Amino acid sequence: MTVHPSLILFATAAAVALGPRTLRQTLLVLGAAGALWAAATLPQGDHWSHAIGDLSLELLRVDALSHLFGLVFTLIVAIGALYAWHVARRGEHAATLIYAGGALGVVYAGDWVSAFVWWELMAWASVFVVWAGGTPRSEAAGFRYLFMHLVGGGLFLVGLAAHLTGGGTMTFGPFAEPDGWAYWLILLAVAVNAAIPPLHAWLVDAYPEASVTGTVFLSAFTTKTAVYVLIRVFPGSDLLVWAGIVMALYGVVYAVLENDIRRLLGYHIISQVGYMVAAVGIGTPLALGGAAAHAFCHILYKALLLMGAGAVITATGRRKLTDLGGIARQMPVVVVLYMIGAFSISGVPLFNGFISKSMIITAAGDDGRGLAELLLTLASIGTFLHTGLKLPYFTFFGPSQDLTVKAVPRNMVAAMGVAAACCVGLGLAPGWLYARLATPVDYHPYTLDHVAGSLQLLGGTALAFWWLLGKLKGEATESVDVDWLYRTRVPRAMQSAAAMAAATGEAAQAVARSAVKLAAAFAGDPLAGGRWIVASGSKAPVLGYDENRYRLPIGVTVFWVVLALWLVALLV
Amino acid sequence: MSRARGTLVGATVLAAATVALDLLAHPHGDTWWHHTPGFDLLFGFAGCAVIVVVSKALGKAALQRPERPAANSGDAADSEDLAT
Repeated sequence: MTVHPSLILFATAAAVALGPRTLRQTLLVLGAAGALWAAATLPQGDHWSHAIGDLSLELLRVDALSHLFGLVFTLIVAIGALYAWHVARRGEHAATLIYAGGALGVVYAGDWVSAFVWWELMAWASVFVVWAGGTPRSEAAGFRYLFMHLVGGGLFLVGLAAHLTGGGTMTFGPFAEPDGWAYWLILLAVAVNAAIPPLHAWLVDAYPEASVTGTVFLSAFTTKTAVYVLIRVFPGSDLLVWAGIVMALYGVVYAVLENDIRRLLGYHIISQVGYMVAAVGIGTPLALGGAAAHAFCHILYKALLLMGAGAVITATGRRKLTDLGGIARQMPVVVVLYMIGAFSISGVPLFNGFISKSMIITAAGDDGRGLAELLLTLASIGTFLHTGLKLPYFTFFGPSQDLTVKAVPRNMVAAMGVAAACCVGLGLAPGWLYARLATPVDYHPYTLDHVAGSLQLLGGTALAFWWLLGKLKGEATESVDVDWLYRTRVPRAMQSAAAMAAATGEAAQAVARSAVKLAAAFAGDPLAGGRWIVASGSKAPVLGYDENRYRLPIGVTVFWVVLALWLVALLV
Repeated sequence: MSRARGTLVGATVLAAATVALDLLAHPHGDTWWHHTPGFDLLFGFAGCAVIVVVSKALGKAALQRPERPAANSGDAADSEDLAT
């Protein structure tokens, strides 16, 4: 029997929301494990079709690509559920499970309409995950997040309408004509979720404001679902190569400036997703396989890094590099597990980032895109610099701030352990992942030149870090990103527009009042103007207005009335 | 030997070892940097320095502003505080 994994997550969400408090955490983990089992046992080639009128919906389509993403999505739900075991907030758990279910729905959707409905469910549920942060900042960030995703959803809907009314097929897949309105609108909508600059700022604005457990889930689904859609619908779209390279470097530049550890890691989500976007643009089998493999690995190591940051925040109550330091001795296990995530994202041999990121960089070189290869390599230098050196040094090893470090719940550490084991396992046995890629690849990461090149790159970066250590310590600053426009300039522009409208209204009222005053004065003394002109050329005394003096005889009025009646009679 | 000096000597030995590996390896790729021993070491060092210097310069010129107290707790930073 096949079960759609989303249905298990929705049932779990209902049980967690309505069930007794004592069973809440158990239900959460059991439900997540059940979804993982369902995804792992879904047979490839399975389809669920359902027709509503003329709409032929395909609610479940299991092929190699959807199987791979479904597997890693449910795996991270299970790991995240373990990480959040100690959290009793049922609303947050329910929102998280619905969010994950929506993401899985997109992955398994076989038609455009289903994909859109799941896409929107994912967006709406994720807003509640952000709001579950429970702070004024998370509330405000959630509204901005909602605004951006409503814009993205609107673009998707209009694009979908254009696609279907233009004779496009219902099958959720590549466009037959890749240059129409539908193509560009849906690509733009996916770019919002993929956090392609300048549409990216919602990510670093909202993710760090969720709870420490919520951020782990948020990091996994929205951007990776977008990557899935890009692989599914837009393979080989050349524009994406440069969009991805910009993403990869953009995140690196901002990470240098960032003081908040979760915002720093947020910028590295953008950077890492940049590799996947670029790979989709390159579009060769190795690149597309690399995009899927890197998404798989990224979900695991990024969750591990954010779980480590969450453990630090839980233990110290601090989230800024300038407020942290010297806590490695108090939380050595967290340090080791965090470093496994850091080595993974940095592409250190034997860790999972090495076996996936190198696929993309190699694919760029093999496709004759030397500059892209160099720039993506440059971005990987920045990745090691920040997540492998700067963040751990100033968080765990830097000058001590004499912080009180509380014990981290064991379930959080256990979840980090599972994620770390996955990162190392994939790094040691990449064949397991390569065998599950939709595009078969003949790729061997552990060649002497790959390993030597990676070690040199990492070593050179470490040397430069050591040399520039003084410049890299956290600064009590905030970075101005694109969200600065809609957080400050747009509200200010709206305030200015409102003030301008009010001033215009007041001016119009003043003009109207003057006009009425003038008309009243004219009605009271129609000859005043003429008298003023006459008086200006004469020294004779000017008489005041006397209505009896200028009033016409009654006969004139009677004449006009009779004339008017006669004209009416003629016309009728 | 001081700790810093020891680190430097150790790093130099490791770097030399990886460059030696480069000489033994069969390079993958056609571009000149794939065939230049030690290129990745230099690229790692120079790339890291460029990232730090350029990012800091951009930060000082336009992208960084002093952190407001509100940024640690409330959301006042979302409107007027960041606008100035």
